[in-house]
Amino acid sequence: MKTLIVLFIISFGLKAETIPLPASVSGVDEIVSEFRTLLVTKITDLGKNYISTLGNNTIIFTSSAAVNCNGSINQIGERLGSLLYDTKQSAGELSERVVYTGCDSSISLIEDVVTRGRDLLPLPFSDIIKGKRTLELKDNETYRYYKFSNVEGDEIFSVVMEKKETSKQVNYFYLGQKFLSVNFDYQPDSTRAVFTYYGYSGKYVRKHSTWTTRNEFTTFSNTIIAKKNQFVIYLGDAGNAISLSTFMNTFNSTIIDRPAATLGYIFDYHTYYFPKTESTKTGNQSQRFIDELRVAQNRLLTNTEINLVKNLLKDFINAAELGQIIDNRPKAN
Amino acid sequence: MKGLCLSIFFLIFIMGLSSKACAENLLVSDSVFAARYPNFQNYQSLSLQGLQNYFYALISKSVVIQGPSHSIVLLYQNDKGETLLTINAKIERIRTENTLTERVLYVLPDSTIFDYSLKQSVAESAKLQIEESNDVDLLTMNFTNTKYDYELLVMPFQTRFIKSHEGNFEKALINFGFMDISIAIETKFLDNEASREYIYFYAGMPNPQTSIKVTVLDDESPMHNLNYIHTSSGSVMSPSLFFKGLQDGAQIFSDFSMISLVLIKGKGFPAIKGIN
Repeated sequence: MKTLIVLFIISFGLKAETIPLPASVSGVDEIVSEFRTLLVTKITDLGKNYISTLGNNTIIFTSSAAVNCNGSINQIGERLGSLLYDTKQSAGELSERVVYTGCDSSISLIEDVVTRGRDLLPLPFSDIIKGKRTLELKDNETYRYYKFSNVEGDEIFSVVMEKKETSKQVNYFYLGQKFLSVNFDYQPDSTRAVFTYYGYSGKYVRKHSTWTTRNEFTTFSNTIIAKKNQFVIYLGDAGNAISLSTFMNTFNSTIIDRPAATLGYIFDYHTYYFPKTESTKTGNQSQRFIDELRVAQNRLLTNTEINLVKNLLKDFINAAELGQIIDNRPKAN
Repeated sequence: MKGLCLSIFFLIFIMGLSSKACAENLLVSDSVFAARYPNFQNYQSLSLQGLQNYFYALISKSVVIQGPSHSIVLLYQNDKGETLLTINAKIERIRTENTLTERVLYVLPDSTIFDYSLKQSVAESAKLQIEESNDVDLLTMNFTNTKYDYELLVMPFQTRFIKSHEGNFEKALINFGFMDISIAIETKFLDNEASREYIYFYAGMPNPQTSIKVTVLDDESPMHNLNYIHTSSGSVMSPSLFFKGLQDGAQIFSDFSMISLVLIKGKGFPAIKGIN
């Protein structure tokens, strides 16, 4: 028993003292948000543009006027879209499913999440509606499988995460093919993350659209070593030291500009299952606002920390939606 | 020159508004300034923004080799990963009982040195151990986490930023030595009154010292209405002029930020696309 307690304390200690990777390095939530945001924005905008009716873990969108959706006219009160949340729970495992349905009751996308751990709780439905979901494993979670598929059950994207005492493995898949794995090794005074990039090819066919991808190359890795009170070390495939900028350029050109971008196009296609929506554009002038925009501009110009720019823009959108940023600009012609 | 003097004059205004409240229990606190002048928050940051961005990009685009005793080698690389320039850096720390001085030296290949130092201090009675700044923050001139009284000295630009407080009195000074400009901001908090005075000195001005002051008075009514009084060298001025002064003066900080990027290139640091 004593040994167990000691082991628990050691493992707890390791977790508590995990050295974080630099904020500029994308984690699972940043990568997934590259394309999931399109769907979340669509659902949020549906709530702003149409009548929402909440049911038991369901939200249905209807209109008080006839709406043209994908070429057919939906009459007043007819269902324009819906979101259904379903959960199943067994010992140490929680399965969640969100079904996104568009006009004519056509299923747009299905989002599945399987989580293992202890004291697991389904997300509140209010968070589901807002698209709030954190994929990064929490302290009480050891495993997560996250998948997006279409109505035929074809897997579009998935990520599998598994955490052990001092390690974590995250594998990303596009059309069932692995394109990235990130292996973390946590030590009390350091965190090592190995990003391994895989080539892939695939074809995704839908009505009116086809995405053909041939992104074949020899598997290679880049490594990040973050040590307490020291500069972060970035290593290339041959173990040579590289700069943060080179690391980020490789990540962006191999992941963000390729599979994540393709997934963005695919998700954009799937949002067309829903009726047209309009969003409010806002902006404001204040010193803090300008300062943050300037920093973001520099980050873009120097091609560093692109994900921080994205996070900033997301913050601005949230602030604008909460009325914290007001647009006083003259109307564009 | 006249324009510059005017800008300098108004600069003073702006600076003071960055100070923090020192008196929590008073009816009039720092929030009265923040609420009234939300656009002017941290003029030290505004002044150093260019250099912060520059050094951050420099480090991001470099392979960083950490040596012993806080010595660092930056191998500045192009997008192909080829090293274009090697820059040595060193962080020195000197601690006394109540102070901590952290000095950063960048040494360029031609032995040119670019250095700056941050001296933080606490009152003897405080008996606090001043925490060391993070190395990355020091190298990127990010001093936003500085908690104590401090003096930041950028030697090659003869520029100083000082901030100190004593009880309900707070003083900030920015001295752009190479432009012969000094701006002092003094903030006082009394029971029902707060004031912030901007005092500037510019060597070429006929009247080298001018002050502009904003005083906030709580009328002590149950509603605690606040009255704002704006004065310039003792004479009341209209709020619109005061606000115009604040707006115009803000330009100086941005100007310094931009000038510093030209100067840093002149010291032999590489030009970084998108920054300088």
